[in-house]
Amino acid sequence: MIHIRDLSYRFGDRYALRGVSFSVEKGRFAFLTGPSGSGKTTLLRILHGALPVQAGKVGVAGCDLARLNAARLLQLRRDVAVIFQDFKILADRSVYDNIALSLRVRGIDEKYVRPRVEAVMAALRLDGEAGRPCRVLAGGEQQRVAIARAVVCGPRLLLADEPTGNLDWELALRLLDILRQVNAHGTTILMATHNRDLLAAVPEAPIIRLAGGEADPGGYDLDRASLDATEAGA
Amino acid sequence: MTGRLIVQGVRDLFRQPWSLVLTVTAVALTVYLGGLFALALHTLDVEVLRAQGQAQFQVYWRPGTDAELVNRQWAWMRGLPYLADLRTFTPAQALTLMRQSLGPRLDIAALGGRNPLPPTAELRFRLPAGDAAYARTVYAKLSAMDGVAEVHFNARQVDLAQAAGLVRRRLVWPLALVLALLVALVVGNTVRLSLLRRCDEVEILRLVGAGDWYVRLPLIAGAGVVGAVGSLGGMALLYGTQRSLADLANTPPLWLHLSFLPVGTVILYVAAATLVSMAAGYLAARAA
Repeated sequence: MIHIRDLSYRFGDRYALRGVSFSVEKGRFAFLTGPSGSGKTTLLRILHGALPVQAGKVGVAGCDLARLNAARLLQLRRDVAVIFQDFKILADRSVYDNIALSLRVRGIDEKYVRPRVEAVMAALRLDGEAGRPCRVLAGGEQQRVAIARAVVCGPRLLLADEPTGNLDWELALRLLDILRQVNAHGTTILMATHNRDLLAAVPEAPIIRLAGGEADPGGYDLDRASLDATEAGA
Repeated sequence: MTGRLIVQGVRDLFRQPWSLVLTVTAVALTVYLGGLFALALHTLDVEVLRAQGQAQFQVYWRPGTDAELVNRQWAWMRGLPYLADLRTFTPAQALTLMRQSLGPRLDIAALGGRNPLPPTAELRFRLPAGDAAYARTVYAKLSAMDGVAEVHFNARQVDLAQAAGLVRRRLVWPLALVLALLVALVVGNTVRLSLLRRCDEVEILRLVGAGDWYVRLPLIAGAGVVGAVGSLGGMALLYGTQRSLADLANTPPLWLHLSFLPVGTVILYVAAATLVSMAAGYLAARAA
């Protein structure tokens, strides 16, 4: 699902990513971790087509991101959902409209939109908030809306950028449970986090560690070295 | 989905109510200004072209011209294009008319049984649009007919009417272009400003996989609604102006019949303003 070879990305003179290589197979749940500033968000933005591939090769869902045109970018964004670190929700629109957005942009009929949105809202404990504009929600609630919007469309690949940053531990575990359910339905998930408790909560998930602009296929300090080596392929 | 996007576009307009009010007002005033010109041109049409913008000819044959020849020429005249009216007078008919007109002052006996009057004809043409030289062409043809002694025609009125028509034709398109440009600039600028305010929203729509149509259609629909509402407002203002000036203009020395624009013209104005607004909205939304 994700194949990266020698990916480098610079902001001016500074490398955000340098020589990163790893793969995540279809249907896997993988973690992307590393300290702040290690390039996790940059990598996710590249995988989502929000930043161009400057050097190296990146393939996502069968799409070569170095050869991205408008039509392929549109298809990529319909195949790949993202939970953004800064939520990126429409503050003036209601909770329901924000979640329904990712189904509506795909042209899904309104009669199919409602049950799917309501199911996801119930799972994320947002069912009482459907009509409220997102600007009046607390940070944790806004994050759940962003998560709901990403998972409601059943994407092929889900990229999550610190999705539990504003959630308490109970909700974080609940989110993790939802993501695992989504994963069980075939969605590949790459979740960026530096929360070690979360890494420990999904012991079967490989970990891709970014450190100082490079991928370290050896994993974090958890005992998953052999699995990581297979996944990283570096 | 298209209907929902259009509704969304209209709802989005009300998120910046002051911007909406100012844009609709600007469009309304632009259309009103154009409408005033159109009203003036329409009045010119009605008053000048209809009342005076007709070519009228009086044709006098030489006395004693063969009646058979004159009859053939009258038959030919009836087939002339744009002829609105033809009145013919044989010498006998002309004398009868003169007798009726002058009464006892005309001394028939002094004529000695001879009729000195020639055959005559009066022709009235509706000037063909876009053919300023038509009246003079007809004049030349009539003058060149066998037996014709003299042809009179209202050249001054024709020239005036043709000048008015020329002015009208030359004004209409540049005026329409200027108005379209004004409406396009006003609405296009508003859509662009709206986009600047909503760039975060457009970015989010793009990130979740919204296509061009999904992002742009609400903007185009909103621009169309602004154009339609603004132009209807402008036409309403114009109607109020026409109603208040109609009585004033229809008094000496003007005696102008100030009628409102034909329904077709009003529909054309509103449709044109709406389409121009949508086009401006589309061009502005391409940046989205």
